[in-house]
Amino acid sequence: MTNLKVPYIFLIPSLIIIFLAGVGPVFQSFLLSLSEFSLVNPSQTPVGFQNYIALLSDSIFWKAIQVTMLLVFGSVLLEFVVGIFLALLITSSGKRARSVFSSIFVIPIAVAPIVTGILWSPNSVFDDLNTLLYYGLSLGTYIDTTKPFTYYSLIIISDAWIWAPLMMLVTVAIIRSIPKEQYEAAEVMGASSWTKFQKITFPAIIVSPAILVTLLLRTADAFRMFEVPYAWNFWLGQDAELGASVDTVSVLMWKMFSSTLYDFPIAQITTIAIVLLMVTLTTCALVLRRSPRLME
Amino acid sequence: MSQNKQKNNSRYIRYILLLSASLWVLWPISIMVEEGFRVDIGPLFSGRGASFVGEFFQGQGGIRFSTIEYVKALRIEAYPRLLVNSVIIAVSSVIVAVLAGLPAAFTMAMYKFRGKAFLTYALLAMRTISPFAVLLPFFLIYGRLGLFDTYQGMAFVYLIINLPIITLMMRGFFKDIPKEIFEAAFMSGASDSYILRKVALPLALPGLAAAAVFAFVGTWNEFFYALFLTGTVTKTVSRGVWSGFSESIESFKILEFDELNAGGTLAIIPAVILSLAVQRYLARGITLGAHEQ
Repeated sequence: MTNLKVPYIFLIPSLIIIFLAGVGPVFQSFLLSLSEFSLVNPSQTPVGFQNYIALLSDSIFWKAIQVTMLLVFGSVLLEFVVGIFLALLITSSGKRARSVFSSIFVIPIAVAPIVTGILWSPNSVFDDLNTLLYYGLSLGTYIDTTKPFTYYSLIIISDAWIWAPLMMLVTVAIIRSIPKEQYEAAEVMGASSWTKFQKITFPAIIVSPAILVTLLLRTADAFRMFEVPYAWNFWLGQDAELGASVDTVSVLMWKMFSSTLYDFPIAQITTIAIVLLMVTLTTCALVLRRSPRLME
Repeated sequence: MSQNKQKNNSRYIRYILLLSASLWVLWPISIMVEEGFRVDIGPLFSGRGASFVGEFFQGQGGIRFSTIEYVKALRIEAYPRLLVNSVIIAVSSVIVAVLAGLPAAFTMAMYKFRGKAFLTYALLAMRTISPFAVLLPFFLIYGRLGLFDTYQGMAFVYLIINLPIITLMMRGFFKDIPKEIFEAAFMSGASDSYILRKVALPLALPGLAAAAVFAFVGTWNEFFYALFLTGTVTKTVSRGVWSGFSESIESFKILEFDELNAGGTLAIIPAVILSLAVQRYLARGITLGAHEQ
């Protein structure tokens, strides 16, 4: 239908919103990051890329990057593995079990991330679990949520708790699209379930563009992870400390913005935001390249 | 015979795994619900009521089932006001997103034009962007225009999330309609807006409902913009659940853990019900049509 006249007027409302709510503010953020500016001292003087250079030698920023990378890598990997596991369970079940259990499994997607921060807090789940371990089973041990390894794992687990179901939905669709003949042929040759998974199912999942696009989008989302680490800041009593152990890049920016200790350093915060934006823009470009459906 | 037995065994194992996976999903939620009812079964295991494990006090323990936290939240405190705020902001934002996004989605599905790839990219980036990349300009401009803590202001901010969802999801749904239907309509000389309203929209109506519900739940659950841009007038549920609600929306109070859980339970009920209603489209919604099912 390329020969017909394109109704450009149909695009105008969306374009206006994109420019007013997206492109415009991003551009202004970029300008702010090139200046010396804070709410306390609102005279805006241009300083070029000085804020970026200062940021590169800021140990607190690098620590936040490390924490973020750890959480991104951990949670995306765990989501992927748990998602495949759930998908295999779902696809090997009967029709009724399938619809009941997939409805149960997708519930976490609907739970607000901040509520997830409360759900997996030290006084919720670990209240019961620890008393069970310590007194109930008389093991004399408990899960110490103040240990770094434990709370990093718990933040990763919380994130995977929300998003593994998404991986499950995508993986179920991929498994369903694998031709039945492949499995039948494998059965004739006497292959075990594990061999079938290893030789047919897993390769099909890995090469699918759908799973790649989902993984990329999850990575981009995880990079701005805010609510759960933010909640853990309070559970661990670190909310006043800049560069605390659960400060992701987003939480770091929140602290710089909300604490009165740092004179509301708008320019420094926008500098970090623009660096984070680069990650987002790159990931989105990769998503588009890998998704023919979005590009056509 | 033995093969049958083996088959049965693997079925039992599968059910055990399915049930443990359900436990992993439902256990944290069930604890929130029971704490909201002031039921705390954990410390009962210790056999000694209140207890300390590690650095955390493990609660009083005991089953003293009471609906008091829910009654308090809904009757005495300003919780219903938070619900109303969330509904007003989410519904108006979704309506604007639908009005602006539908024609754009239609054009992107039907035509090839220059800049289409860029438009897709801009929408995708808008969905994925870190809120901090736009927050400070919004903060400064809203302060100047007096839009800070207003319904219009909040509805506009949430277009950042809702416009990409509506446009890219609807574009996928329009594309799913067989091309022949549109070709016939275009041949008969119908205008674009006629075809959008009378041909495309009726066929994509279930899709539109799913996209709208999806955008609504996203706005309902959103915490970040609410934390920075709402105040005593427009505070939403997801912010109130965390930072406290009290007798009136203006007053502030640190919540007890029981109250926090009651508020959290009430907040997730509509989101869960709506999401289960559109669960067929969940993957499509989150990946914005990049995933076809």
